[in-house]
Parts: sequence; structure tokens; C-alpha cells
Amino acid sequence: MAGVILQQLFNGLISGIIYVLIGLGLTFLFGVMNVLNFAHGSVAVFGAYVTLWFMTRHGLPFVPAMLAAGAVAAIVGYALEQSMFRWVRDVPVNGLIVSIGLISVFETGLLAAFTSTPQSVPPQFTDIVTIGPVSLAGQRLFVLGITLVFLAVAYVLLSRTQIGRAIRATAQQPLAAELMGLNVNRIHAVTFAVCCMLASFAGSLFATLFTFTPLSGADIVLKAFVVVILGGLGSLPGAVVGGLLLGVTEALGTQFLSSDYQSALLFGILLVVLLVRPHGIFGVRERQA
Amino acid sequence: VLFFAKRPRSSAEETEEHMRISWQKAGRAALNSLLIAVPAALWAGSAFSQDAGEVNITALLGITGPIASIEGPTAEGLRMAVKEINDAGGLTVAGRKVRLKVSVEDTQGKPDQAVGLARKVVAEGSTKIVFGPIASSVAVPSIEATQPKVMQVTPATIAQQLVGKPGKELLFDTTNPQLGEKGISPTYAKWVVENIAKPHGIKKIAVLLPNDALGQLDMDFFPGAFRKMGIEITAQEMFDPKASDFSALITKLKAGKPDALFWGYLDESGKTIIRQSIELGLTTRFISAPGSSGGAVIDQASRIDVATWPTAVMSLYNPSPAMARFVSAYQAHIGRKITAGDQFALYLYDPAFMVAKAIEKAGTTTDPVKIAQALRGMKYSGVMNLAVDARGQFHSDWDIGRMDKGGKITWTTIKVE
Repeated sequence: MAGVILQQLFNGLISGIIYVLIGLGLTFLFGVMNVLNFAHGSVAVFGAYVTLWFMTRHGLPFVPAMLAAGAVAAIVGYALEQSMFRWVRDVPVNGLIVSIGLISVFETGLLAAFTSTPQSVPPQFTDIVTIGPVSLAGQRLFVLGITLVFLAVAYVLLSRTQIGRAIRATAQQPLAAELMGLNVNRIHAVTFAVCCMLASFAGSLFATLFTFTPLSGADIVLKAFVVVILGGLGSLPGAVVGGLLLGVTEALGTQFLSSDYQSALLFGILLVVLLVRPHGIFGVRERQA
Repeated sequence: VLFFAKRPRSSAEETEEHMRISWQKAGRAALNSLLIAVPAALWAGSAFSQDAGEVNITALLGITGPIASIEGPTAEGLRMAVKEINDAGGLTVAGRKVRLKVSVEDTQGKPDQAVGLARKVVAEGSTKIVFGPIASSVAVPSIEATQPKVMQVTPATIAQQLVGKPGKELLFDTTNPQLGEKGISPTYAKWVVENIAKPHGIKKIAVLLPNDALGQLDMDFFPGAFRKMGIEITAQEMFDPKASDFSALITKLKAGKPDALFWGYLDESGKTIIRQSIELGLTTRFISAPGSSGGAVIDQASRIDVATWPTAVMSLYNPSPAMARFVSAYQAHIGRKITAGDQFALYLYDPAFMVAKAIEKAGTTTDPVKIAQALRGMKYSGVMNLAVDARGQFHSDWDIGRMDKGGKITWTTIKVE
């Protein structure tokens, strides 16, 4: 039984790390711009298709294709922020509605371009490493490694660079940041672009492990929302903890309960966390005036 | 840093901003006018486009949404059939030449959307024949909306339980019966035990099926059928049809040490199920429930010992000349090579020709009761051999695909009697 639990913990860790990467962009966007972007999952799927396109049409290996897809997603994100979200910035609920509309735009566009046939990105590693009772697929270890690199880069970008400081300043006090001479409009656009790039990376990695269609974004974003609400909206460490908690809960819940109860267990935990800590595990309670 | 520096605005820029806002307002007003004018024009157009020489047929299919990978190709197969019928001169009904006109209405895979569209068809009265949907959860409410006023021809498995019942006299099901003496499930279960389990020494099977109507139907039948034939079922698990990761469930199934996995049934989930089963050391032998097109196993051909899957109608990869002609024409129609998912293009292709013949035989384009009477008992040889029984159930040739080590695929065709 110990072997099975170890295997399930590893399964949960890998699922969780993908949720972390998807949730990271979502919570980052909310923290800086106060925007709940429901189209975040669709951007991830867009990134997966663009990666596949670079690989099959242009013969790029996976990593350059993933980076190129991330660049495309960043450009699309910048354009979306400047053409749509910028105009609804003062009323967050309108931003939410715009993002829901964008889901249809992405889905319809991807269906027209790539059809509804389920796709997957060919794995780079097909070897299986067996350590005692635990089977570790090479591709899963690769995804784990790449995701940890992305998390480290995101941390350094935010904490050690001028851009990161500008973004954090805008997130904390947009008015003060503007008074200090920062172009808040441009920072918002860059933040949106970075979040779309993160979503694209997550989608590319997701696609090497699972199949996807143009419509997979809705399910991806639902889990990403659970991750960020568990961890605390706007909190980056919260997204990491929330993602891992979600992955491990799903895996152990499936082992010890029927899989029929997986969703009930997940939302039960979410309910308990929200009752005990309404602002999430790492979220910060807003000060009352 | 300069990139993020704020730049003060000049008065000229502020004037420009005012002008831009004015243009935006004007643009919005124009857009609002268009939003009213375009649908009105389209409605007016549709109201007057009913030509005396046309028979309207409506397809209720989810060409977007969660079942688009199934119903999208079905819509294309139907469109192609209608085009071929019209290109061949159309129909001759009571001495008058008429053409078929197909309108594909998108259910988005949603039952409420399908009901709304079905009610619209019944209320407008200009369409007497409806094709689709395939997904049982969408088909059932649409059938309730159309019956007994409009003829409905659907490949939905659930319709097999409804055809021929009182109030459902205009309902037809186009895929082979799942259950019953000569149904796909009992025939396939017996074939699997004789051709796969015995030669490969498979004595224990784990079962993994989606938690939906068809998955439940399979769960109710297959484990019991295998047990009766001496196969031990080590575990039975159902999963959320929207799930993308099966690693936890597969780890759980591995504890029973099965010799093979019986899985269902869509390629989308099957691709991941099979890959993770191999990676987690569950098995390299796979038996698919009815529904897979075989696409799920082809990706993993080099790592699979044996895999098998039944098709509800004949497979597009069947090497018959009629199928080769269909595939060639279909590829030209969709402008690309077929994939395993295009299997569903065949679900309404031959039935469309049969309905066209029934209209000619009935001598009417407006009386669905007479058209339904003409369709019952009809036999037809198109891409497949088909027959319609007295209840409205279609029977056709169907295939069992088998992939052995090395990726070699062979087909066994079960002929309609």
C-alpha cells in the first residue's frame, strides 16, 4: 500500500504542478489588474495548438516551439489588453464579461483552424523510470523540471528586475505608481502579455501529457480558479500551494474513495478553506476603512 | 525603465482623444443598427426562400461544443450526401423534380439548445425531416420535442430503446443495435473472448468507463458478459467524461494486476488512458468498448501488445472498394486527409440516400407519416449494406478492428443479414 500511496503522491504532484503554472498567470493578472480572466484556459489551449503548429509545419523541436508559441501568445495578450481590457479597466465585471466572450472567439477560431479532432503534442521522452513500486514516466519528469524552471524565472522576474518592481508597485498602489512616473497603462499591457505567455507555456506542457481539443480551455480554467481561490486570489505562493494541494487531493481521493466523489471532495475542501480563511490560504484580507 | 515611463499629454492629443471618443460613439450606433438590421434581413430572406422545388431537411448536430469531434464529421457526411443527391439530378417526387436543402443547426452539444432548435423546426413547419443528434443526452430531449410531428433520423444509441414505441412512429435509429441477440455488444464480447482473450491468455480484465449514458450501458453489460465467459473482472471504475488525467484511476486499477484493460469509449480520453496505462505499468493489452474509432491506439502502436475496438457502423479504414470511393470523395469534400475521428461521417451518409429514396417512394415531400412508412422495410446497398426493420431500427455492416504487436491492423466485418 505504501508503494501505491507513493505513486499517487507523484501522480498528484505532476497534475498539481500543471495547475500551478496555469493558476499562476490567473492569480498574477488578478493581483495586478483586478481582472478575472475566464479566457485564460483558452489562451493555454491556443498555446498548445501554436506549439503543435510550429512542430508539425516548421519542424521545430518542442522547446523552441513552446517558446515561440509563448511569444505569439504574449503578442496576442498585449493586443487584447490594449484593444479590449484597457477600456473596461475601471469596471472589473465588464472585464470578466469580455473574457467570457473571448472564450467563444478562441474556441471558434481554433475549431476553424484545427478542427475538433483531439490532438496531443508528441512526448520528448518515452522512457519509464521505475524506482521500487513507483513508475515515473520520463515525459512527466521533464514537465516537472521545465515547470520548476518557469517558476524560478517568474520569481526572479518579479523580485529582482525593474519590470518586476514596476509591476509590483502597480499592483500595490496604481495611483502612487502613476504619480511616481510609471506608465500604468503600459505595465497593465505587459502584465497581460506575460500572463498569456505563462498560460501558453502551461498549455504546451499540458499537451505533451494529455489530449486536447479547441474546447479544453473551459475545464482547464475551472481547475485554475479552484487553485487560485484555494491559495488566495492574487497570491503567487498561494497558487503554488493551491495547485499542489489540488493535484494530491485528487489523486489520493481517487485511491481511497470512488472517483465519483472526486469533485465533491475537491469542492468540499474549497468550502472548508473559504469558511476558515475566506481570503484563501495565502490571501491577504483587505483592510476596512 | 523608459518603456514604462509616463509621458505627459499635449492639448492636441486631448483634442484627438475627444474626436476618437466621438467616432467610437458613432461606430457603436452603426454597430447597433447592424445588429438589428442583419438578423431582420436574414429572417426576411429565409421566409421567402422556400422554393417549391426544394425539400428542407434540418440536421440538429453539435458542430461546436464538447461533442463537435463526433457530430462535426457527421454534419459533413450528411452535407456530402445531399450534394451528391442534388448533383445527380435531385429527387423525382410524383413526377416533379425536387432538390434537397440541408440546414445544419448547431446544438453546441447542449440539451436545452437542441430542444429550442427542435421546437423551432416543429413550430415553423417548413421541415418535415430532422437528422441527428448523436449524443444520447442531447438526442432524448430533442426527440421529445419532435415526436410525433416530424420524422427524426438519429444515430443516438438511446434511440434504440425508443424506436417503434407508441408516439415514436416517426423515429428512426441509424446505428446498429447495441443489445439484443445480434446486437454489437454481445457479438463483440463473444468475439473478444474467442479471438483476443484466449489466444493471449487474458484471464483478468479491469474496466474503466466514462460516467455517462453510454458508459453506464456498457458497465451494465460487459463485466457481466465477460464473467459468464470465464473472465475475472478485477475492478470496475467510472470517470468524469470531462477528465483529462487518469493516472490516479489507473494506479488504483493496477492493484488488481489485470491482464488487459477494457476501456470506453471516446478517442479523446482513450489516447490518454492508453498512454498512461502503459507508462504506469498497468497493461499493454486494450479492449475498447463500442464508440472508439481506433485512433486512440494508433499513437501507441509500438508499445501495444494487442488492442481491439468495434465500430458502430463500418470503419473508414475497411479495405472494400465502396469504402475507398467514399473516403476519396469525403477527403475532397473536407479538403484534407481523413483522421480516425472522421469515422462519424458515415453515420448519416447512407441513411440520407435511403431517406431520399423513401421520399420518392412515398410520392410526397410534406407528409412525414408516408415517408416513414416508405422507409420501414427498405434495403439499400451504398457504402455499406443497410436494412431498416419494422420498428424503424437500421441494421448495417459493422467492423471490429484489431491491432497486433508492431502496429498491424486487421478488420473483421460483421455483415448485416
